[in-house]
Amino acid sequence: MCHFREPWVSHWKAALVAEQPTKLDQPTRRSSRVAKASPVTNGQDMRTLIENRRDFVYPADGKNSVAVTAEDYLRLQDGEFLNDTVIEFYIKYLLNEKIKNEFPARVEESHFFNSFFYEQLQRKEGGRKDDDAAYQRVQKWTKKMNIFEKKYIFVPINEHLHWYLALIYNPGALLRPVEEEDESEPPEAHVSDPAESDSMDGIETNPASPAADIEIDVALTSPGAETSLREDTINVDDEEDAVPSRSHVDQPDDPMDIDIDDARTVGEEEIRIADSQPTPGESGLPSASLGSSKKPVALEDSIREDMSEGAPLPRRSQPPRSVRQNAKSVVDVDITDEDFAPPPPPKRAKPKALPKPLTPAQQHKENLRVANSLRRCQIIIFDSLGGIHNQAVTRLKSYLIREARNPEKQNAQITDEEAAERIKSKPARPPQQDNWCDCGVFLLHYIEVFLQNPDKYLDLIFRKRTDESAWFAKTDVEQKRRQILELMNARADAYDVIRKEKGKGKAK
Amino acid sequence: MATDNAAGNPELISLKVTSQDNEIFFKIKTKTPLKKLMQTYCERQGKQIDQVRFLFDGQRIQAEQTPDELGMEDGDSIEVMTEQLGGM
Repeated sequence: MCHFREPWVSHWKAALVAEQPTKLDQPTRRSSRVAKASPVTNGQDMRTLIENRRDFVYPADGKNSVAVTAEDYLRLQDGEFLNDTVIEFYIKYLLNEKIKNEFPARVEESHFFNSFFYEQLQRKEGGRKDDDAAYQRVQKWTKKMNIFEKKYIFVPINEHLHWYLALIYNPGALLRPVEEEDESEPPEAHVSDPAESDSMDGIETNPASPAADIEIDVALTSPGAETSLREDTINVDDEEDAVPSRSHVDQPDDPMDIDIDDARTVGEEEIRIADSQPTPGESGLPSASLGSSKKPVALEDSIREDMSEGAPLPRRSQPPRSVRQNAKSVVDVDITDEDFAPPPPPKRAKPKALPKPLTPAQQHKENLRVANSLRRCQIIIFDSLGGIHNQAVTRLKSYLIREARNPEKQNAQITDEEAAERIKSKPARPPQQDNWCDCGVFLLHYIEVFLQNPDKYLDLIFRKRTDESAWFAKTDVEQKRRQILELMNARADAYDVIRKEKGKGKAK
Repeated sequence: MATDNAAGNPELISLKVTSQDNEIFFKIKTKTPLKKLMQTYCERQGKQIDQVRFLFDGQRIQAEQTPDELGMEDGDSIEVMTEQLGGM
C-alpha cells in the first residue's frame, strides 16, 4: 500500500515483485480478504475458472482487440495484481457489450485510452521531461477522432505498481470561453433549471442526520464563504472527509498555471532524490498542513506533492472529533517527529456524524457551484488509495492543450491563461480499497458504475458534502475478480467457436 | 498502400519498432501477419512475447493482422510496451 513516500516505496515494491512474483499480498490481509470474498454464492468457483484458462482474442473479430493469454487469468486470483491486459479486456467488454446494450449513446460519448497512453505521456527522454516530445509520441493515437467531441475520456493509469483512473470530463470546454452563472446572486433571482432541481433531490435523499457538524456549518453559512474561497476551503479541509488537496487543486480562483505545476514537479523530484527515507507521521500530517493557513507555503507544497504520488489520504485514520479540536498542535508534533511508524490500515474507526441539511439558500449556492464546475473541462482522479496525482493532472492538461492547438486538428488559439481557466481538476474521493491488491479491480468498478450513471457520480464528486456509501457497496467489488474470470471463460468459448467455424470455412 | 519505398519492392515496407531502450527497423511484406515481426523482435531482444505489447497508433496489434489490414505505410512506427501490473 502506498503509505510510504517515493522513491523508497518503489524500491520496496520492486523488491517484492522480484522476490515473490505471485505472492505480493500480505498474508494476514490476504486471509481476511479471502475470508470475506470466498463464499461464492453462485457460478463456478475460482479454481475451476482458472483451470479453464486459455488464450483468446476479444472481440473475436480481431479489430481493435486485445489478446488475452492463459497467463492473464492468473492475475485474477485473489491477492494477485491485475495487469494491463485484464484491465483492457474488461473495458472492451463494457464498451462492446454491457454499456453498449444498456446505454448505447454513452459509448458514443466516451473515449478510452489504454493504459499505455499515460506511460507514453510521462516517459522522460534522456532524464528530461519534454511535453512536446510526449505529445509527439501519442499524437497519432487520435488521428481518426476528435476527442473534443467526446464527453468523457477515460485514462487508466499505471504507476509504481498502482492503478488509478483519470477521467477527462467535458474536454470541449477547453475550446470556448467558460460561461458561468453568477454564484453571488440571491436565490430569488434564479429560475432553477430541471438539472439543478435533480441534483437538489439527489442531496435531499441522502441520509442526513440532525447531529450537526459545527465546523462544516460555519464554513457553509459564513456570509463570506463564497467570496472568500480560501477561507472556506480551509474550513472544509479541516473536516475528516474533505479532500486535503482541495485548496490546491480545486479552487475556482486558483489559476493552476501549467508552468507553476511544472516547477513543482521539478521541485518534487529534487525532494525525492534527497529524501529517500519514509516520511514521519504521514497519517496526521497532510490534513493538518492544509487545515492550517499559518503553515509556510513551501512546506505545504512539498507535502502535497508527496500526496500526489499516491500516498493515501489520512481521512480514515483521523482521530475522533474531540481529539481533533486540538488538531493543529497534534500536527506540529507530527511534523517534527522523526520516528516513522506505518499508519494503521485505512479502516474507519467510527462512523462520522453526518452534516446538517443545507438551507434552501445554501442549497441553491451549492447547486450553482456544482453546475459551474461542470461547465468546465475537469480532470477527475479516481484513486482507490486516495492519491491526488498532480503530476498526472498536469501532464493530461498539457496533452489536451497541445491537442487543441495542433494546427492539423483543432488549431485552437488558446492562451495558457485561458486554458488554466477552462481546465480544472478534482479528486473524486471514491470508496477505497482496504487491502494490498485490489486497485485494478476498483478502477474497473469506478469505470463501470460511472458509465451507468455519469450524472449521479459527477454530482457526488463535485458536491461538497457527500457520503461515500452513496457510490456503491464494496461487496460489489469483492465479486468482481470472479465475475471477470467467468466472463473470460465465456468469451474464450465464443472465440473457440468462431475459430472452428473459420477453420471449417477454410477447409471447404 | 506501400507503392513506393526504399526497397523498390511495392509489397515490402520498412517499419520502425521502438521501445524505451532502442529502435529497430524491420522490412516486412504488407500481407505477412505481424506475428513474424513480433516473434523476431522478441527473439532478438530476449523478451517473452506474452510480456510485451505491440501498439500501432495506440492500438494493440494482433498476431494475425497484416500491415495492409492496419493501414501501415512505409516508415511507420510500432511501439513496444511491457506488461503493467498494479494492486497497491
